[in-house]
Amino acid sequence: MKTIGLLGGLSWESTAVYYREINEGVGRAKGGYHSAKIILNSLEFAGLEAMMQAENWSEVQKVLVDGAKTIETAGADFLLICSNTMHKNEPIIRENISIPIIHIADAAGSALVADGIKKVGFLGTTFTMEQDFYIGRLKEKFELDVIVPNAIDRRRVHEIIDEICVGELNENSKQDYKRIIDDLAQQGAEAVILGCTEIGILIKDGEGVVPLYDTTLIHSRAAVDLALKE
Amino acid sequence: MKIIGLLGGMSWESSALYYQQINEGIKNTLGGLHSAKIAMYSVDFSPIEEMQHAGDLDGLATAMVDGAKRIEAAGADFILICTNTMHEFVPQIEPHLSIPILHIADATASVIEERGLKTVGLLGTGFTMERAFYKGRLVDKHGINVLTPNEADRKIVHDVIYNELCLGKIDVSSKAEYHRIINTLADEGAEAVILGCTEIGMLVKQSETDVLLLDTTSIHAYKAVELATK
Repeated sequence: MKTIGLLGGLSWESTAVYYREINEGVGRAKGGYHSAKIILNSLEFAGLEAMMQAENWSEVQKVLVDGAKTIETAGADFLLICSNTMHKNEPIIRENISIPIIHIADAAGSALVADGIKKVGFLGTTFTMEQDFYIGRLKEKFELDVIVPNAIDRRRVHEIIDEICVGELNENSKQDYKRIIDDLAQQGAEAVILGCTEIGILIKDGEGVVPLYDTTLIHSRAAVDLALKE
Repeated sequence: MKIIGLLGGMSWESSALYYQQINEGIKNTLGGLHSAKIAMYSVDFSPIEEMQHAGDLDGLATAMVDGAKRIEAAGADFILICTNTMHEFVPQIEPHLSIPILHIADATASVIEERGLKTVGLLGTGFTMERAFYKGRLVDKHGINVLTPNEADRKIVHDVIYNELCLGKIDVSSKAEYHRIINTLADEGAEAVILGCTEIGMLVKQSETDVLLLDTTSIHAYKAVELATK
């Protein structure tokens, strides 16, 4: 069994879900007392958040690259960046380590393609919804037609993520997510990607009018599959 | 803020509690989006459990030293071993590290001393209840009077940990047995009962009994937060 590297704390609430899902996945596959071999580097989120708000991406990159390097040093065989948004920095992290990274958009794209989905809605932070590093990859590498909410709803989706990051789960926020998912479905989305690792804490697959692809769960499953592959 | 090293996976369910409680502790102390800096190595529990069962102490010591060194390599400032039982190997691990181990018995003793208690009951695995590394440390280093259940009850306590809690099973009749044993210790003069196995806190809760329970997972996590933010 390979050792799974997790760059986490982005936020810790979703990293806790990764840790549980991966251990349960290994337990199911191997049985008995088996659990995953994991090296987790959980970063301090407040400092990173401030850097992101200030769009100080070079500092963000430095913290993430240092974090990834320590995971490699500690003996991980491959790395997961436990956040959709932070995949903006995946290219520079990849350049600075020699172990492979499972890109979260690849895990999501593969799952959608396997299910025969062509047009998909996407929810995430404004960074992820409005920039090309994630959605561009889904379009080019997996030939998916990706749609996002309008500008007002995008801001609302982002605000709710901030609530979840501090552990607030509000019923009216959940209703807003349902409404926005409805809108995307009416525009032809056959499924919606929960493209921020926090969103799945508030709303789960089965609670929307179309299937919801929770990237935290999909990314965790991809890690278990790779760790157990001979 | 210091980086907290966690040697976990024994079992992963209790390590998940450490991860959650440490992050919540940092949030309560520093506020906002603050989270802990954590370097965790989480082992596959199956080979560990086999070595425990076979009494392979050398193999266990080697595995613990390997995990602790990885955590130091990942940049931790101090280490918590996230299980009472494996504290047996602290003397073998310490010479290989240049960072300190926050011993779970010392963390527990400091809370017992703060509360002015003299006599406490101890529940844990057979190893923890019977061997010197934990009970002896409380008695010899800290001058605390420690009571353990009789042999038949020790077997019940031990078996429930391994056959149920480590596999994520919560059984109502086991819960009742634990409460009976806790009450017996209180009748014998224990002013509090140490839940000296990180799994036990999943089965019995303070709200269910008048006897003061000292949950070593919470105490250990709390002391880590204190040390990290000092």
